Amino acid sequence: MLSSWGCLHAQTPMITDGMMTPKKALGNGLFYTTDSWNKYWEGTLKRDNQNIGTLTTQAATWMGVYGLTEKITFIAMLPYIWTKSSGTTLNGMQGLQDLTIAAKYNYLNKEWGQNSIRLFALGSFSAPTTNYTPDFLPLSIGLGSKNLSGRLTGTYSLKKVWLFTGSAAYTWRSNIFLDRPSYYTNGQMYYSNEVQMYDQFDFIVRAGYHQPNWHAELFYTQQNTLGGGDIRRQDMPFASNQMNYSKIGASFLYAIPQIKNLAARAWGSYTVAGRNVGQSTTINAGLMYTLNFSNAQ
Amino acid sequence: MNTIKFYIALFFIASLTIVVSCNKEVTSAEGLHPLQPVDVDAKAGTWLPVFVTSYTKYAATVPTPADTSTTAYKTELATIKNLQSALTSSQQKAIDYWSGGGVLRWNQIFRELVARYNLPPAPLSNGTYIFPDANNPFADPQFPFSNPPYAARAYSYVSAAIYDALKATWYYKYQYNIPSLEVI
Repeated sequence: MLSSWGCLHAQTPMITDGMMTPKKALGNGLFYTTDSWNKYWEGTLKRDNQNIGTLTTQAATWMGVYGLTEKITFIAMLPYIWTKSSGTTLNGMQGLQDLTIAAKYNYLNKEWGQNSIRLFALGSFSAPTTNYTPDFLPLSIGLGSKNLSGRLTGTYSLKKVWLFTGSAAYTWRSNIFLDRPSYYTNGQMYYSNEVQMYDQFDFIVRAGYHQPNWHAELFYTQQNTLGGGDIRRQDMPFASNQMNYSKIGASFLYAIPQIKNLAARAWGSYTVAGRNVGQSTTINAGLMYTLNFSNAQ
Repeated sequence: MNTIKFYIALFFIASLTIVVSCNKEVTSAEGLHPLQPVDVDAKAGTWLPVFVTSYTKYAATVPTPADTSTTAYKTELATIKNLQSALTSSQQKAIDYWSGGGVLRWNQIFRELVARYNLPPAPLSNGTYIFPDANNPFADPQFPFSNPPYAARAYSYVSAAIYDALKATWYYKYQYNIPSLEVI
């Protein structure tokens, strides 16, 4: 997840899938993430670095979902993040990262026979909850910008067992401020502590198989940063670098039959191509428990 | 339900407008007010130079200016006034940039160069390192590596040269003592 050096929400299934939470149902989940890489792209050059060794990022993320109506679901996420490098020269960092709040709106449902098409719009906002520094990459726990995303998601369900999902988002990012009065990036010295963060575009396509109490998916996702410089030769990464990646992954959801309303979820991904990011392998696993406050049930 | 939809739409549109409408661009040059020296240091031409042995050796490159009453001088003055009355925006930008103080701007230019060359050599695939080569400065690793001693030496060369240049300029400025344009 942090192979983008900071962007959590773009890959979380709850943000990019077409699942809604029932009305007046509140879900609380806790997820553990481990992400590691020992090769990264310095600009377009793939390399290793013995000052870093293997960079491992772990996260414990609280996630809450709430169904306001059958058509509107609120999602909130807050991760606590640890970073560590197996090289000896750089100390890891840890702390609460960014709080994400999102609203998913199911604005179209079309069913015919065993098939259906559903369309969703999602707006999300995220901002740092602590004043961690974004200026110590790749050990920083995040990039420090406030982000606003607009996302469109569509699902096509075939014979009630096959589920195809496509989702794309544009993310506006606020500028960030460093604890130093000047910095050098993209071939230029800037005599300011303000750093321009370029907007991002991401999309994901998923193919899934659905059964009453489990759901399995394969996915491909890509994120592009619409501007920014490359990491220079043998230099540290910088927060406004153009961070791009393509990943393949799998996701699995299992409603535990013995305990009502408890679901286990796991997903993982591998970076197949990138620019100014680590070639990371990511594994997420967690549990989500849903409380139902609806009088109707 | 329709009211909720309406407010949700309104919220998204409003927040997008706020984000999109703000200008995010960060300019590289620091905006500075025009430098207001407290003193003109009229005697700076007599101060001891660092590198230059004698200012008189520049006499050939600084010819005696024409007298302010001659036609040649007046023509030159008129040309300058014409140019000043029709400045392009890039010329005005350059004037604003340098009016922040030439010494300060030259230091900023050097800080940029030091930052650009502040890259240690990357290891080769066999774990060894090659050193910056003065005969091949644009290869990887580029020459010079502006580590602190190297950078300090570069800053001191430039600062001493600027100091000498200013004193030499003052030497000739007060030798000919042509009144400023506002006075003529």
